[in-house]
Amino acid sequence: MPAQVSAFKDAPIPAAAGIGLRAEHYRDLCAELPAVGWLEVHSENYFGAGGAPHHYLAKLRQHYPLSFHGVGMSIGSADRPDAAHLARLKELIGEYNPGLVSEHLSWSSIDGEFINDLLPLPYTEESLRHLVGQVDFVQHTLGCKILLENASTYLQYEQSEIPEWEFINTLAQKSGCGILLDVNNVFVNARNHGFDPFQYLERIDTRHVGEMHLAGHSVKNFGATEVRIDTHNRQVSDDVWRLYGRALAHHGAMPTLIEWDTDLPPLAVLLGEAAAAQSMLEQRHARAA
Amino acid sequence: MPGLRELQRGFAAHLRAPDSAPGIADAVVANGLSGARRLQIYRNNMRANLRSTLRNIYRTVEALVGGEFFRGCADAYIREHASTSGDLNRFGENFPVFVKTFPPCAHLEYLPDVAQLGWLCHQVFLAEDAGRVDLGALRRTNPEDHAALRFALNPASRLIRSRFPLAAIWDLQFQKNPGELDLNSGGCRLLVMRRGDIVFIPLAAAEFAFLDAVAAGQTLGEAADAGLAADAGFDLGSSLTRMVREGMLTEVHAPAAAPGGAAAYIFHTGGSS
Repeated sequence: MPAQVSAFKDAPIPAAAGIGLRAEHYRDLCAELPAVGWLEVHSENYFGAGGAPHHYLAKLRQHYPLSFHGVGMSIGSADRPDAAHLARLKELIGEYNPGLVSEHLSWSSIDGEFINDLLPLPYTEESLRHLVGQVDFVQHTLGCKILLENASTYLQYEQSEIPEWEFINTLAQKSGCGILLDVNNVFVNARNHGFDPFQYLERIDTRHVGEMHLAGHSVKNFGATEVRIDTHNRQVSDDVWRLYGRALAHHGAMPTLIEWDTDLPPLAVLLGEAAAAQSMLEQRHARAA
Repeated sequence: MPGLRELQRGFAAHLRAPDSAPGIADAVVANGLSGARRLQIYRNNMRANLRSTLRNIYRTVEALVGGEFFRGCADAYIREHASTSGDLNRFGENFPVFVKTFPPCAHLEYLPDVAQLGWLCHQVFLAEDAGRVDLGALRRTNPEDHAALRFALNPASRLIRSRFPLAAIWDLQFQKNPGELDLNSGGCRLLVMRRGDIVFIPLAAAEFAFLDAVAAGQTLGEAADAGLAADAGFDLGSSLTRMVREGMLTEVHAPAAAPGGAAAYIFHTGGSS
């Protein structure tokens, strides 16, 4: 689909701040080509064969490193991922040559029926064994490594016996996948389930981390209980910025994405968030130098 | 303790209808909120997500019937139609058929056709980019072979006919003070096509029949017959020229190209290639 292979064909995603590319910003981005490190798209938004999505992505691909982030593979399902889904994703990887390909550590379908949401997994030995097999199957089918993101969750299962950080580390170690550390999700889950987010961050194995995510979330009250919902509809909260600072100190500078998916702001606001992350990344780079 | 598959089946069934799988709530840690309440968060998320997917595709339906009424239709549709793909762009295909049989919509006779137009626009938006008819190759085709040629309808286009004035109904949403619209002011035959933006091209009965036959894979000869059957005055030459020029027809497959063959006599495109 891209008219010509860009200068970023083989470029890895830099340890800089990137933004999520959404249709509402296509025109502004193409017109301004702002100084942002890289772009990430939801792979499924390009499952269509042509039209505006591919027109703009091919254009922007010539100016920015690109990452593919999936929301619909359902890698945590007891079923194998849908063959047509993987085939289309593989085709797109061939066409656009993204620097990173990622998905979520969650499930969204069973017996062919889709919930189209990122549903929580029970952290058991059975799940772990199953996920190692799933990741292996997917990486083999796609012909590339994937990163898996710690998802935000609003419930835990009684049967879970492995802490999430340990589940993710072991999965990465046994399957060869990387970790997409979503700092906002760590915070959301810490508040929802009552654990120390700093401790979680530090227990994630740095060797496997390939990317970080930042996003805004909302607070919803159910009676006296407060639940943090991962809405991606506002600026990153101060708490999450603090946590991100700690994540950088501990894991080093990583490609960091600002995600914003609903109630999209003008591009300038999104770029402002990216600039804030970029300045923290530069401080981290300076300290490492 | 349920295995992974059993747990996921129970979870999915609970999201569809909580009463059908109440036991799954016991598998959830009640930490400040009951398991059922926590599952409800996911249930609400799922519904909101699918509802906004339908709203994006069927904006015009929503504009015509109002937000609250649309929400009722969408929620009923979501209850009856499970999503079957991780790609949400595939969700909602049966909504036009659904509104046709959904009793609260019974008095809105035009609604299924408007919804169908919405789905076609969605398809056209995502469709493959069109190729171009190779006029040079066409000119090298022997005139006696023309009847056996097969054209392709632009992949980013769809045909629709209705007994209602769909384009006028569609435009109502963009008017500040929409006046009265006579729903019986005449039906329409349209080609919904992506040309930068999505446009509705009105077609005559013969052109519609012709393009419909082309879309079904029929040869030029067969499609011309279909056009003539719809209107004995169908002028194939001028229609075909317009359709190629405007990009409605994109590819042509000749049965056998004759090297250095005669010039095509039915094309008046004026261009040199």
